[in-house]
Amino acid sequence: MFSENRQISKRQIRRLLIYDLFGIGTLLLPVFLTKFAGRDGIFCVLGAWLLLLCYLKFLEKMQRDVTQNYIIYLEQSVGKVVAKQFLMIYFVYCILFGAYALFTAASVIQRCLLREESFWLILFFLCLLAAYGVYAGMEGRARVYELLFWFLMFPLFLMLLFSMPQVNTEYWCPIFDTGSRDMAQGIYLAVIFCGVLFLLPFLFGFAKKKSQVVSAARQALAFFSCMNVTVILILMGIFNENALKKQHFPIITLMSMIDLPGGFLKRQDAFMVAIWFFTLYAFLNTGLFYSEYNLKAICFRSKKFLPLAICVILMYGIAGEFYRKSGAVFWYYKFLWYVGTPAVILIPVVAYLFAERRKENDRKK
Amino acid sequence: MEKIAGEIEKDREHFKEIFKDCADIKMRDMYLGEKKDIGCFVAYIEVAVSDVLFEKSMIGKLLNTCSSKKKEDVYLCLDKNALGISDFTILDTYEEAADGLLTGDAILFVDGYPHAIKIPDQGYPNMGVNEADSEKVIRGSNEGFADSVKVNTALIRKRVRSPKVKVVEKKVGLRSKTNVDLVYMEDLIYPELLEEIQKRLDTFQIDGVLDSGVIEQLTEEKWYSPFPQFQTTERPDRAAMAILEGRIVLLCDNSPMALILPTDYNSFIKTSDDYYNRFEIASLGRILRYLASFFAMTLPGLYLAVTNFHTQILPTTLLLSFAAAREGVPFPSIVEVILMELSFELLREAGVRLPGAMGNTIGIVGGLIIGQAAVEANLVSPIVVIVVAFTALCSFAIPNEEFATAFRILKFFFIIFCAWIGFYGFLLCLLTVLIHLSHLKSFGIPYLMPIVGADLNDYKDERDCVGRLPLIYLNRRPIFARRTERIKLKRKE
Repeated sequence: MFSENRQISKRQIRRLLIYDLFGIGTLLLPVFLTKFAGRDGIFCVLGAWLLLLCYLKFLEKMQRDVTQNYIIYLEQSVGKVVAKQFLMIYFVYCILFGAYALFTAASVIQRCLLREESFWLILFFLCLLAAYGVYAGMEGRARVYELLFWFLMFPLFLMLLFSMPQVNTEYWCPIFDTGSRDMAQGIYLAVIFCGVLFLLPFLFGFAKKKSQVVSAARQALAFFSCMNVTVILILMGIFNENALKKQHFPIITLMSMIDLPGGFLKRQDAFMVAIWFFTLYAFLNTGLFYSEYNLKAICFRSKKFLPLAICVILMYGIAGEFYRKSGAVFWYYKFLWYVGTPAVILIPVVAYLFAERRKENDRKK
Repeated sequence: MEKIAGEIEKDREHFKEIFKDCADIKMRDMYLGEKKDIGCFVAYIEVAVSDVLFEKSMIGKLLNTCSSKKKEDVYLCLDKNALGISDFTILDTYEEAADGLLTGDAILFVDGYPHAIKIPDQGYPNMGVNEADSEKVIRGSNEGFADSVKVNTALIRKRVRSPKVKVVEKKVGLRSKTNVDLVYMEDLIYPELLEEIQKRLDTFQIDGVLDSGVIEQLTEEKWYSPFPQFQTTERPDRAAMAILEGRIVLLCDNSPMALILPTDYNSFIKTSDDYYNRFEIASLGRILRYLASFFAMTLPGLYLAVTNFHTQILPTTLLLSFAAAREGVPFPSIVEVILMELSFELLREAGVRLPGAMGNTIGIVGGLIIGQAAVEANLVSPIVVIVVAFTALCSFAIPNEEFATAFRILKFFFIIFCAWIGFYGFLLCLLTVLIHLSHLKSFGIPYLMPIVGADLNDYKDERDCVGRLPLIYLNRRPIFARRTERIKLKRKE
């Protein structure tokens, strides 16, 4: 009557994307970038920002041709059979990144909150919650992040502000001492960490105005890039390059080191874990949502719960493998580096080229 | 403004058109003159005019007098106010007549007489009606709904005297045949909303409806949700406010509790005097109530998570004082908390069931004496008493009882999960509640409006949410009202 489910506003899209990008980005990217590019990590983030803006420009162009939703667009441009193959690639990409988010979230919880609790129990509850979140639908998901945004961002800003006096700016220098190959790899890594943006075409079908999707994504990307640069600078300024490389979740360690004025709370890392719990949950939820969405489109169009159940079980299993075998995570990184990310970048480009050729042929006829 | 025709058929049709779909407005046809050849009709609000119309009331006496007179004398009698009735007013237009009726008086139309006559009677029901037991306010009327649906409808009409306030009457209950009135402002509501509630009322068949609570449970969309999807109120001013916002008020006979639909989280947090008081104090009250709703659900769980799992959060001195307070208590903290929470729920239950004065006494005896004795007997630690008491205080600060109950129930889930897996359990429960609330709707309105989905009303509802802007800036009706009728306040040119 008043609001339609599956239709989300620009503000909701922006906040949804910020959450998706922010969690895993601030948790892991500073360490990985320091390993690749040392003190020049921030330039990798800025480089990735520029590249992704170009990609968003392309999506803006493509979005004009998407009449209903991205799946229909794919089917119209490359045909139903090829479209299914593409959706299969998306499905694998989403299920893997969802599983990775699940594994990371469970690791953070176990390491920071429940050292002696079973990893499998933590995974189990997260899976249940993610399934419930997906069951709530796109609008339900968007509303959760819309509500939580300032509740989580405001304390984070405050904490980052309080940490600034501890920053030693000498640790930031010297800069530009990374080779161009390492820089390029760092930029590519930062692009990979923004993988959620490659699923943006799916949002065209969920937005109230599809023209606002790319604009919201640009704002989210700007917010994420600025926040990430700030976080990297603070972490680098406090831990130094060498110590930063060896940390698992340096941002959470940082939270335990900040002294709040008044001294009521001695250590606030347990509370601040909530930020990464919610953001990683958002990331996991996105993975589950799109994998279920794609699976439905591939083979379970009429089923309601079966695709969701399959995706949850798969995610639980894969996340468990990540936990049991550290090599599995390494293979996942390889997959993202060589197959997953290039594929999800190229699929809309290929679809767009086919659509353009079809339009050209139609015009000639 | 259209002049009264003086032809009874035309007058009746016109007046019926003005008060179309107003089940509480009655029109009664009669004949005057010694030959009973002058048609007339009296229009009145059902409970505003006395039942013993012809015997005792002024209008009864007037009609009796006119019944025994010749035709020309009848008009003369009316013109000259022969009975000397005070506040006897001759009206020339239909609009004046409608306004006169809405002030609670009876309106008489006589065939061949191009005026209407306003005759005062007992008027609207007033303070003799009832005083609201819950939803107390510091400023504003203390009048509360009564058990009779007719009186309740009149109490609303007394506050919103517009012919656009419509009352649709329905009978619910196969054997009880309970009267249910749907009261709304014709031009403000979405017609689909009215259709939807009528449809839902028609979807069930039940022996008897003895209170509005039965209707509430049978017509809500998500029966498993602990959060109410109808707002309940005992206050006519609250119901009138809801009508002015474009919502529907459902009144059930034999129930002093009105149901308001649709609703959202924010509506439960608001009180009537939020709008009667200045914006600063209203905003402060709102912030406190929002915080109260959060702590009423989470505080005992949070206490358990921090003291059992994450003691590193607390400064050493505070931690030591917690430990000292627990010294000698034989139970784990979860047992302590559950014991105290259950005792408190028992006290509450006992207090509600006992007569007024005894209820207060049991509160004092339970709260002070038993609490103190339990601490001294080392059954519970003082800190747990403080936590439980503060939680109870928070739940009392929530203005709506049904809404507060949802938090009271959820509190136990938080306690169990926090005692089991600490802060992770707290986060899991919190996120589950948030997901649930985020996809909960009341008749199509997102439950978390306007904190989420504020774009639905161009981000204007946010002005009246956790804080409240000065009234002059609250110029738009909330999302409930029809999109074309959102402006409620503007400066006069």
